[in-house]
Amino acid sequence: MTAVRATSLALRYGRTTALEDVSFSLRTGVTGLLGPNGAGKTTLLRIVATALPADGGTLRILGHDPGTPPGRLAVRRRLGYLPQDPGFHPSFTAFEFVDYVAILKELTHRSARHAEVARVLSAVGLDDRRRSRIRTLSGGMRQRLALAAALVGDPDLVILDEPTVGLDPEQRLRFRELIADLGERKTVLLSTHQTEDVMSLCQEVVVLDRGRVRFEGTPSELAGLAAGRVWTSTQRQAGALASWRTGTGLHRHVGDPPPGAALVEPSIEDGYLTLVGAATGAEAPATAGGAR
Amino acid sequence: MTATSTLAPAPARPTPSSTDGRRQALLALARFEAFRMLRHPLTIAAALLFLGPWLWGWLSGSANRYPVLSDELIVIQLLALPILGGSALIVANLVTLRAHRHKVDASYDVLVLPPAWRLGGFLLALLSLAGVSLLLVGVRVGVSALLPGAVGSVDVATLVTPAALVLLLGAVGVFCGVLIRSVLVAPLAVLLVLVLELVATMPSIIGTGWRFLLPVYASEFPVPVPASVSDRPAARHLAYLVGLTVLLVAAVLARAAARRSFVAAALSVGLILAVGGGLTQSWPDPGMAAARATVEDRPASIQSCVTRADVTYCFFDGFGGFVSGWDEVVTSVRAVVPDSAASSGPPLAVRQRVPLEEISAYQTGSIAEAVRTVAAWKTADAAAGTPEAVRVGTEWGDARASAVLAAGVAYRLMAGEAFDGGFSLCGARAALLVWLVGQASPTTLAGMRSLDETSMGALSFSDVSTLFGISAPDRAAAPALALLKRPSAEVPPLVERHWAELTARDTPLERFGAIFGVPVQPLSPEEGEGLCTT
Repeated sequence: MTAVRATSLALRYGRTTALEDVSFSLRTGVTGLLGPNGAGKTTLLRIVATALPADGGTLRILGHDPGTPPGRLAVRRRLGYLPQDPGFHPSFTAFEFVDYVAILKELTHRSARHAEVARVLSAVGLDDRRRSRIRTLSGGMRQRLALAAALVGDPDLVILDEPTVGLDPEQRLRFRELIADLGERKTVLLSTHQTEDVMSLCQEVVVLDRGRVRFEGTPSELAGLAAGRVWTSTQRQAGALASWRTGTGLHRHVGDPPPGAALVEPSIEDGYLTLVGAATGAEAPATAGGAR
Repeated sequence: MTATSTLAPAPARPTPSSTDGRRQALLALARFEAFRMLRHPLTIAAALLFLGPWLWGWLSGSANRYPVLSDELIVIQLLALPILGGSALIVANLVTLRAHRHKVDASYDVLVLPPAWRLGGFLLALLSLAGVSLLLVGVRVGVSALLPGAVGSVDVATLVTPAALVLLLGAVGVFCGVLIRSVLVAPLAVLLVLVLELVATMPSIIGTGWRFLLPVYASEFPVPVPASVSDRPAARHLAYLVGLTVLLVAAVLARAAARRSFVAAALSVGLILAVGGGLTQSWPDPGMAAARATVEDRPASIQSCVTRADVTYCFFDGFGGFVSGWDEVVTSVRAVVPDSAASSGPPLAVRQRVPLEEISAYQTGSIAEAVRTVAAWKTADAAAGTPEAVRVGTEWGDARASAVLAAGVAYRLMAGEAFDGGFSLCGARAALLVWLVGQASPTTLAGMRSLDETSMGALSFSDVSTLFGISAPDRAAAPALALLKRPSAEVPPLVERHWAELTARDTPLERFGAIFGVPVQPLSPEEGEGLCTT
């Protein structure tokens, strides 16, 4: 079932075009949203999260038009949103914070609400810290708490804006498990710079660049964009679109291979670089791996 | 992370919201915020500050004045505004700004409960602070009412006013938070409240018509007055405060784009209450002038009287609780007076008096007016069947008031008439009066010493109710104070034996010294007996 269908979405900030002719659709499962800094990912997420109205185009979310107040309300009742920099009330306990969000989501029955809060806290592994003040939690715990707040009320559409930033490898792994589990039943839109996240989690990928959708398909299709265009050599090659030295001491190149080059299997990152690097002329992968 | 977590399916999807659901969410939010507001350190500190000093005064015995409940409520209002109201303002402001301060707006903006309803939740939560204020005020008034000697009555509107003030200032806190996103605004607003309070406690610097427009207003009189002449339109002022609160609520909701019909309704109700209450509370009461004239000049027509032994005590409605205390003082003064003196002249009476015109903050009385008032009182007392009644005020319970009454009774027994003003007592009479007051009880002695500390050149027994105090020069007070150090059994027989001589106008102070064997300072050249004409 299609949870989100966007057609020709557009948004301008004054003279700056943030989004133009953006069309995509989301179904049950995890869809990754990739793109360089300033591509418009957060803007697009905010539009889908009903925090921001689009200037043009049409958007249907869970069968509703978020452009109308009743439609927006209907969407919000089934939405979970984890923004890029979620804030917290330091003096609240973990339980109080999620409980507060649950109240604002209009979960009114006290005992049912508390059971729901306990469920999501348990899901993110904060069961034993529910009575801890947020100011005493580590960064990773806070990130999990923010995810718990997004998940409270069992939303059908979950929007996650770079949820794994700042997490250590173990925490990232745990996050992935959780999101993968969520994606089995829900529609998840995951904005990330981590191609590993996309590789391990996403059934679909949307690549956004300079406010336009450059790609929509499966991760393997994205990787496939670089098929026959990735090779290794002992030396750096100036003609490549992108090249870098790998841990093995060999140089990996993306671009048009020279005759006789040793072609290798492309990855999602290669596909992304083929797509975005070509457009920006960037010296990737520094572009793809950098923090926002 | 140590354990593997998976997202268990939710037991049941929350029920889609209806209007009822939204109302329930509003109430749940209000409950949540109320709990946090009540637990806020500032709220707890304010409650302690509000109750602590009063409780300490009560437990330590330093608050010895008998409570007049109507007056107590005015004091409570003046305290509640800056302490309870100020804390409510800051706490409400912090709650309103919390999402912004902690950068949670982005998350909250896409939640279901709209901003206007969230603000509604904050405003509703203020009811908890108002409820606690009412409880604190109730505790103070309730305990005061149970204290011995408590008099006066409790007006419901005045009782509720501190809670209304807390609501009003809490709404100001929310309004400030909506209008200006800075936590510095609330403390500044509290500062403004303090300035308004200062203005309110100085009624003479604002007109009579304007003072009711302040959140609180002090009494026009420095002492408790009978309820019939209190010019506090408490119910209308309460309506005015509630109206202001509703107007603020309307402004907050309008700013948050709440439903227009709701905002319009709140605006209408607020305007009606604020304008209606604000205007009508300033309207002069046509019956007030007559009521005041009665209280001041002809109190007998509205007072009740009781007789203890052969002494009549007359008091205003609600002040009957003071009679026992008055009687103790009168009895202890009469105990050392010869029977012949105690029964000479008209029967002894004590009448409660309050010179409204002379003590009003809005009038400036003159000595001549005070003399006329005292003369009128004497005439009225005679007409009421209590000629030469000793006057007593509307405050009771502290040592000074006991000493002033003891002096009035002593003078009445010595002179056969009530004191009606003039210069200091002189000679042996002055010393005898001081001794009579000091020996009556430890309380009157303490009161006299307290009065002595604030007197210059003479020991003056006066309070605002007596208009003219009885005073004895320090030279006359000194031998009496020395005599008070003697064993109590030695002096009364001498007093009884020499009563006629000691109470005669022309008996010099030296004679007092000779009778009791106490030193008397020689009269200095600048100190003339001619000043002591009474």
